Amino acid sequence: MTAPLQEPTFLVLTALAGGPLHGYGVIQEVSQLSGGRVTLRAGTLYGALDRLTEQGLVAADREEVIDGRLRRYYRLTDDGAHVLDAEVQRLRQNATAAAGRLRRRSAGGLAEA
Amino acid sequence: MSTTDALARRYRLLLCSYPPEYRRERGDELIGTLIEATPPGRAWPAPAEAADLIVHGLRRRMREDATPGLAAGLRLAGPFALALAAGLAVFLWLYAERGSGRTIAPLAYATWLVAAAGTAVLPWRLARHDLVAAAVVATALLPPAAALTGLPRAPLWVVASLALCGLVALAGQVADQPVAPRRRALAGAVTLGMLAVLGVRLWWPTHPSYYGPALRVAGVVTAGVLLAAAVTARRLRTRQARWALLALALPAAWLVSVDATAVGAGPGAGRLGQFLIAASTVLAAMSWLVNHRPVAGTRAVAGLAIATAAGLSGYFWLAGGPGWAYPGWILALVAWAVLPAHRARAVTVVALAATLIGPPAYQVVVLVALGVVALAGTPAAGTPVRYAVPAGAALVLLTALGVGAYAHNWQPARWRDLVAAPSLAVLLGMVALVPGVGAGWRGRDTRRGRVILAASAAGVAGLVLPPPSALAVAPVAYVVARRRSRVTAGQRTASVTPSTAGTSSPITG
Repeated sequence: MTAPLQEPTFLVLTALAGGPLHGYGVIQEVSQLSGGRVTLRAGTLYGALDRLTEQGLVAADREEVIDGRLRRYYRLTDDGAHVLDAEVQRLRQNATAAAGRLRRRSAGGLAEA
Repeated sequence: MSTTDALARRYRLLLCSYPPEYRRERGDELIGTLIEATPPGRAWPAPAEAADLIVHGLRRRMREDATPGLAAGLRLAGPFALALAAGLAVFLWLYAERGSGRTIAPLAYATWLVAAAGTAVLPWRLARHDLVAAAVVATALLPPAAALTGLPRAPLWVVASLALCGLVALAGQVADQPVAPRRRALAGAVTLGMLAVLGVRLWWPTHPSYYGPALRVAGVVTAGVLLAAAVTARRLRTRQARWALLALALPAAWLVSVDATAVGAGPGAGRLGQFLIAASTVLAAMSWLVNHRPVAGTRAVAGLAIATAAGLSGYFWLAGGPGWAYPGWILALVAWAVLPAHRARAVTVVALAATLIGPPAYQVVVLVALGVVALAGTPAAGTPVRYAVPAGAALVLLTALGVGAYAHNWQPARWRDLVAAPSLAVLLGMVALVPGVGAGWRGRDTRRGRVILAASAAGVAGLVLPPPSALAVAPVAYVVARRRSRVTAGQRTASVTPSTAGTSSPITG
């Protein structure tokens, strides 16, 4: 039903699947999840969070003030978990199909050799 | 700590790219995240981070400030605009491009026909989009191509109306629309072209040319398209319908030609003046739909007036006009940019007084009208307008120089030719005076609004009629506005009661 998720969106949803996080927490988690490959910038992150909030996949959780600075936490909603799950299924199917083709290819390659 | 403060201040400056509402709501949270994400010891935002903030801020602005109904209105107007462009292309190619009147325009006409046909039948969205974009580019390249090759070019009204139609079609995402409206656009184009050719043959069986009958028929046919769009739009919500009609009216403004006289016969004569009235009316209506806050309206009109007066004065001054009026207006512009409002008003009054001696009558009428609009539209206590007004003045000056080039058929032999058409350039006053009429009428409940209305109407009259007519128009406009005021004379004299305090007087000082 849904289009494939963009990688930053996918990573943000995955980061929040572990529990509520605030903005910088999401940046750190995404960086860790992607093995340091993706570092979200704040503008991009909040653009994604706003869009996901409007779609009801993410919701604002609680706020706290640390060192005089406002932290707002975000959590994955049930709809968000559902969309993430569908995406995981899609990616798994693709990965399985690709792995199968590769296996057959290397088997064929051996037969030819 | 001071490093962090400086960093926070710089981030806050970057957040100005976001809409104010969003900044109030989310600014502190964003600053917190930004500071946490910045390595300690840094006092300046990283360039990539800054660029990311600006891009996302502007994107947010476009989403939020997108006026209600604009996108839907453009989608409605899109197919009509494409039909209009292709129809005009068919008509002009068949009718005007014959005999000695041949130009290089058929190169662009062909791209429009391909675009209309491709939009109707091609299965690829991207290809449909690119065809329309290619037609816009081909049209916009006509004047430079003609200048480079020395071949005869098509008139400016053809280039402008076709290109604007194409932009409306692109903005209305014709390529994304269902197949039915895309097919209708092609059918409409063919019908329009044929009807126009038939009409011009039946009623004006004279020798073909781009002016006279061709322009008049194009105007009539376009009016027909606007009418058809209006009928279609009736089913939609009014805001969308208004946006659709205004979007189509922008290219149509180039086809307004009441008497089709050539340019240059004094102020008010010819197509340029008629086009400027039509286009500035459309633009004023658009800006009214974008934000209809009357207070902002009068202030904006005042800024526009001072920018136009200074830009025109700069042009007249370059043209060698005598007297102190022109430098006076430029001083007034500087005063607006750097001094508090009451000082700027004083300088404007001096410039107004200097205008009464020196310049020719047709310039006096426009400059005085603009000055009065500027004075009446500014509250006594206001801050200087740093950048917008000087930028506007520079734009008016450049446009005036463009009008000079236009008057010399785009081939000025010397740079002085560019300032040789002051009686034509003065028509640019319309750009501020037409919105002034609108803003003044909306504010007719107050004296300030009525003065703006009277001065603007007088200025417009002085441009299209003999200049002394302005003296008669100003009091008539004032009295009419007063009679049609929504606040009755009784209410005006009575003390303001709580029930009227919130509703009356859309313009407060």
